[in-house]
Amino acid sequence: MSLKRLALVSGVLLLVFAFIFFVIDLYDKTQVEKINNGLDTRLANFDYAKSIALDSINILTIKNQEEYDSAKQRYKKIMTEDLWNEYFPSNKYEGGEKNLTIRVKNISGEIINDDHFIFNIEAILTNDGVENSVRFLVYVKNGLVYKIQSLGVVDSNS
Amino acid sequence: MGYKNLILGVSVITLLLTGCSDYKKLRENVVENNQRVDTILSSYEQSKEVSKDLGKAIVMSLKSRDVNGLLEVPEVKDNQELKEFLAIEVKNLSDTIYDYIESNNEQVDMNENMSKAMRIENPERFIDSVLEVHYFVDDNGKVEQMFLVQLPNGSIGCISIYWLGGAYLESKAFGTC
Repeated sequence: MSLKRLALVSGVLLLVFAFIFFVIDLYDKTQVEKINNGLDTRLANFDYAKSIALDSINILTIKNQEEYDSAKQRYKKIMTEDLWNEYFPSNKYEGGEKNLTIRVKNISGEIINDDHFIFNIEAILTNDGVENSVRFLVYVKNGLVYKIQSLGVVDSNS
Repeated sequence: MGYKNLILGVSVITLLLTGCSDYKKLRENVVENNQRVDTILSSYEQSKEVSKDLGKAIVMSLKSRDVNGLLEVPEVKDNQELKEFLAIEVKNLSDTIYDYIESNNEQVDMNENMSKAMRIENPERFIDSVLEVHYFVDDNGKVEQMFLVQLPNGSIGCISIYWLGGAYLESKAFGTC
């Protein structure tokens, strides 16, 4: 096979492959769109609100200035400024070193409307080795947590 | 040229099959999600509907300190476990609220410095202001019908009745009352 013929065959093959990839890509796109159109999104806001409600209760376990600084940036996106200020009114970390951890046991939510939810979180709170089962109500509206209410200890085990 | 066509054909089929298997997984995820959404929302609606009358009866019993009315609700009548639970827990919570009202009013009457406006003259209206009723649903469609009382002295009382797809599951109570 001459060099010229080889170049021609390679060029044609390249074009054929490019066309095939174009067709496959187009097919991919329409298939994904078709599948996504069949997705039931009625709980999409609820699921998103649930994820930020779960994240928000970690505000209780901020241990030091370093954690405060990194949490501050993240929490701006998930909770109202008023709520953040409720926990840190002086705009800095003043709690001293804490040894507090939270492990979520159960979460359920109330649907008030499409953008307003209340989550009921049951968690194990460990403070210096002492475990307590506690409940929180976390209120989320328009994608922001605006209230975290503790219902106190449900059950305690030292 | 024969084997070149073969390679080309195999390549195209492989690419298509790889694409198809992705769609299969994507489609399965969508179907799974849709089933989950349907289960949760229909269980939520069914449970809310079925527990509505019991909810009204519990609120009335808390206000009247009388549990007899709620024991006549169909969901309770034939359910010995729920009947016993409500008879004890609703009565306890109601007594706690009325004890609080009584002690508050005594305190106001005895203390001349306290405004008489702090007396609780209408217990039913007071109960409306301290009682919250919530319907929480979890990922499995289990619904918690929660009656939460938060007294101004910080005491909390909670009665929860759990439902699944409109059927009674269990009941629990907690609080500091």
